[in-house]
Amino acid sequence: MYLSTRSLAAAGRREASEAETIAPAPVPSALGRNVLYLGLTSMFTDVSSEMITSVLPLYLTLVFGFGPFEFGVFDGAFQGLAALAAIAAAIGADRGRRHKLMAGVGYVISAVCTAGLIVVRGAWLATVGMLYLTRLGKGIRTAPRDAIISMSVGPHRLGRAFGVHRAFDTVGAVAGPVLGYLLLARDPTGYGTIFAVGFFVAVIGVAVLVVFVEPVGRSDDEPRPVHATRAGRRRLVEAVRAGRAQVGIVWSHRGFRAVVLAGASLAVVRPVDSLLYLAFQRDTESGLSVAQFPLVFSIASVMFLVFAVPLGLLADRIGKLRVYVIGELAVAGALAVVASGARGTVALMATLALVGLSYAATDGVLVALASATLPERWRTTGLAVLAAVIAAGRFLASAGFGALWERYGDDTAALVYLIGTLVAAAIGFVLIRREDRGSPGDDPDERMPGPVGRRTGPTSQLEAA
Amino acid sequence: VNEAERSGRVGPLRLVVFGIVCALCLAGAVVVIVRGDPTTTTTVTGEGTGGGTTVPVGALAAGPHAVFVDTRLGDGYGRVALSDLRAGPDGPVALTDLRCERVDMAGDRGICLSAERGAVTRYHLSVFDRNFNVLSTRDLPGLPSRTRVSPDGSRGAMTTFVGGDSYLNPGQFATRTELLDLHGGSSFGDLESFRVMRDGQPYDRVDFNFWGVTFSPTDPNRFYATLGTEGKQFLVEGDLAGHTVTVLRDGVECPSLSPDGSRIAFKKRVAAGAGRIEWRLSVLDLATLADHPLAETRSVDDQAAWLDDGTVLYGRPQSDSGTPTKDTFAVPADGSGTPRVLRTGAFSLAPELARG
Repeated sequence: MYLSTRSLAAAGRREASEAETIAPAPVPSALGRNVLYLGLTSMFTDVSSEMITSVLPLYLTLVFGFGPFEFGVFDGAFQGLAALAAIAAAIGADRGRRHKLMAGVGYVISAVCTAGLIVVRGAWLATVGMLYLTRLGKGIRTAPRDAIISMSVGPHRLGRAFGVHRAFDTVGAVAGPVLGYLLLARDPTGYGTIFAVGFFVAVIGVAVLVVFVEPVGRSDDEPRPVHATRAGRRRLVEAVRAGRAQVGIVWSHRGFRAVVLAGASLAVVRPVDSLLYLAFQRDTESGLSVAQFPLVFSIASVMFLVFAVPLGLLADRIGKLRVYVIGELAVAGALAVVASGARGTVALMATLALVGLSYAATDGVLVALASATLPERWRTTGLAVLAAVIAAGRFLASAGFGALWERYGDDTAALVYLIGTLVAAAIGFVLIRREDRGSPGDDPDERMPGPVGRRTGPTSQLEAA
Repeated sequence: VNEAERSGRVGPLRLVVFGIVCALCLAGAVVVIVRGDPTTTTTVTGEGTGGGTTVPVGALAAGPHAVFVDTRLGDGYGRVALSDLRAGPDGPVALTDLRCERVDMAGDRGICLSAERGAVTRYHLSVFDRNFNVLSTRDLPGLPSRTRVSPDGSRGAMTTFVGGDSYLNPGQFATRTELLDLHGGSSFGDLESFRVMRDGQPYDRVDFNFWGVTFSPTDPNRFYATLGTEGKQFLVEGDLAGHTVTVLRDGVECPSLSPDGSRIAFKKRVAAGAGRIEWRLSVLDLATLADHPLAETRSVDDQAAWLDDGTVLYGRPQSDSGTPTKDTFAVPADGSGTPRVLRTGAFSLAPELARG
């Protein structure tokens, strides 16, 4: 679970949807249902993909014999790919046409590759390839789907539309691992069953999209230009060139650099969550059983939801920077539990609570801090840079954690990363704080757009627009 | 794109297609859940009677008897059964109330690895006494694979698959093997927590898997087992008191110690062409570590047992037609003779109490 990058993608699509509001809104009464149907599509797809994701650590380590290092490399890239694909799609998506087709292609790729996991069973390299393709499908579908949502409702209802959509998403993220648990409990080695069920559930999601979602925008009736592909290629080249220039521009903002460095310093000492969970599963005395393992992901999602609102309120009172530090300390706390060697139920629940707390405290805050340092037109690019840096950092962190684990054990690896996290927290605090002081005059908390639905948040901005 | 669709109504044809797709997906999901993993084919269903004569447990428990899992299709399927081997392969059988996937019994203790099938399948290990009364039960971390009780009944071992379900592909399964104190009720811990020595040096790899424990008939602290690592299958000798195991040689799986403690029957991995793997029953001499094949020429995936110092026992499917029924075969330990059916429908046969 990459909640912090999930929120980066969400912020990215908020930027995208602000741009979309310029497009002529089609009949909202007929298209409002699109939000509901797309929500259902996302829910079915997430039940499928989160179920698969929650059994992956077991599948790869137990069936293919991945060690902690190999798994860390795999999962670091897997999670990072999802984050990068989503943000790249948010920026680079062709916003004008064929949203439904593009979204459909993304959903279909994921569904087909889920079935492909059964076909390539036994071959680890092909399995890894299939898994990466499911993530690519996710990257392809996210931006066009968000475009359909934003074009299906009036501008004043955008915030609510995305809120409804995210609720469906969350149901999928919690229900998927529970389904994985039920299937594994029935048959602890029945991964084929899980992949097959995942495929069928995903197909239902695709069917909802194909049958019920109305195409929007100027899409299909408009004749395609004759040299569409060549024009497209030229546009792509221009976009890449422009993108490079944009990255240079956002990087020249000192404040933005500070936030990115702060994010990077934490990311390079933050291994993927699955590695921490595996430490509990691998313990033979008091550890998790195979069947229980997927539930860990559901619990972590629920923990995040539980903490998100209180921490949002707390941020309003004591400031986002302090809440961010709480989040970093929560990461340190989770690592401390793993380092202590305790693997019982209490230790597991403490770890999950701390992981959930850390995401709730840091999720969105880094985005908000980064956004605040950049002019509005550069924000999407800036967030993409931030997402890329965090994805790369966590990839390195995961590979390093796995390598230390293989050599010195999981508790030692956690201890090393615990120290690293405390150092990173200090670095991040100093960097961001100096930046806040460097721009006197207004309260930094006031000018930052908050993560979701707060006084100064993007939702209220959109509603005011 | 017609007007009805523009206004958000979905045409009846599309609704029908949607209904069919959903129905097919639901049906597909139900089928794979009910029938189990589509990539394996181990569904067990059976009708009919086990055949043969059934007698009360007490009638057989007093004399020499073998204990096994009855796999004849019928009421007895999956239940622990007793039989006097002197009455022949189809002699009378006594059925207990225990249902096990694997069983072993020696001295005054038995171990039953069982599956509680249902919406949620659970696996258990039960320790039982001479009268088949369950003394204690605990959850297993995975699929039952092997279990052994030491000849004096004081020690037990169990192996479960926590990943994968077959020893066929190295690197594609994971096992847990734990040693138990059957009289005291405590555990000696997972074999992966033992110190491993190879050529006098400590030996440690992340992909260690242990399986197939056998206990010494004379020294309750000594045992042998398989250590799988780096694509090899080592025979290891273990010391319970010292919490160590020592690598003896390569190419030995599922060892089984002879009653005199001098030889080990095991399954030897052989390439069967086309990348397939089979196992041949072999016996090795512990003094020289040299081995010779037995007369059974078919593949055997079982932990062997010894009827006496000259006879090795093992389980094999009754036919290759895919029925779940297995027979226990006997073959001379010196490599001569031919295999014969010792007991029809018997799997996981424990011969300790049959020696009389």
